Amino acid sequence: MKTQAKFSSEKHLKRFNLRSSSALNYCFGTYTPKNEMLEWDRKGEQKPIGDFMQKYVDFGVEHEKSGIAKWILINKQMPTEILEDQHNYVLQNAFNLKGDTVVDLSCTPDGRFEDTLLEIKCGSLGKKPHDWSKAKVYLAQVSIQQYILNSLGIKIDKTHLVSWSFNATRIWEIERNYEFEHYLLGLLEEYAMALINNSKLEDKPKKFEGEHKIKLIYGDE
Amino acid sequence: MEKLSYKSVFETLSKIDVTGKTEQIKTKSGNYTYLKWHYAWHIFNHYYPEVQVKWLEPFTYDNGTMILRCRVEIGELYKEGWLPVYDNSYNAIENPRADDIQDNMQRCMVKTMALFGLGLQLYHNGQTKPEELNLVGEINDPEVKKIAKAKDKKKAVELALKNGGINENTSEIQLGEALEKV
Repeated sequence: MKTQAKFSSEKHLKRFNLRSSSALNYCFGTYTPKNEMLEWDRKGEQKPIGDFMQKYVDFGVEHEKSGIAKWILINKQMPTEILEDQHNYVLQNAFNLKGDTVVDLSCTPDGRFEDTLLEIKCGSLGKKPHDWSKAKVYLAQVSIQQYILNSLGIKIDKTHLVSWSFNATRIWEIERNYEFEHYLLGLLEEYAMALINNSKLEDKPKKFEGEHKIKLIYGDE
Repeated sequence: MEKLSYKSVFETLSKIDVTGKTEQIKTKSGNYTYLKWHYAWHIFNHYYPEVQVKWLEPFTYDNGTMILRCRVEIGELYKEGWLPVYDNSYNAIENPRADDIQDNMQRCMVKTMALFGLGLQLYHNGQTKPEELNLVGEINDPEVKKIAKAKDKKKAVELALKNGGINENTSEIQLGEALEKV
């Protein structure tokens, strides 16, 4: 994986890094409560993955390449920044904080083709693809990825969320949603401030009331 | 006549599509698909009429449950399988009745036949069509092999897409392996 160059001349700065893959926890405390996430981030560590979840993570890592290959075969195009050539994008001091502590936002998309990001998920240990009720949990990650790349000057209009399995695949096209980005950034800023100020957070934020532009472009409903 | 080998038998039987020859059992933990015993027997006899099924001494346990043991032979080739006497929720039955034993003898025979390759894909993930397994990086599609060997994979993939060497029927598992190979 290539890491985007960092401008870290300010050696005295303390940096925190919020990853798009954990956006769901930062914003909603879905899998790990926000206050527990804060503790881990303050220590500069990631919460260890339990044995039960590890097998799902390992399966996803193993078959990300199958999901990408499926996307290539369906779309008849070759994306960039895949597998060993993935790029880690970092939006430094994402909230324009003044002082000696900054919070970065980072993401590592699974691939990119023109104005489209690829995000590959391999649920159910390959038994079947996600249905939308499960896949929608990735909206926060997808939206933050789109925001980070656009903020870094890389025009991204949509993401193809690929849910791969041995027997079937579904692909949703998720258009950039400024309203949802704004909503998520508000929650991330709250999280960042709590991180810096050693304060606590409520797990349940106000629900997003806007609309998403999402369509299933491959696979059965 | 060519002498039978485990490899040739497996290559024959594991490629059989058993669609329409299965039944589904619904349990609390999920739905399971099985090849019906009479189809299994029919297919085996079609390819290997010398097939024989022998029943070995079952294991019985203090709590009254038991494991059936079966041996399927094709000439000198054989496989031995086993199966507890289950109810339809996959709980071992204590002191099973004759009809419980008979049902599970059929399941045990089909499972042992699967060790030769017939309907083995059902036990992977319930699908009835033969499955091309990704055996630790194995790539047998010649077009995908070219991509695996190419220095510039992007160009190789684009060329293969352009000339139709790879398409929607290509195994994404093999192509994925090819993309990963440095």
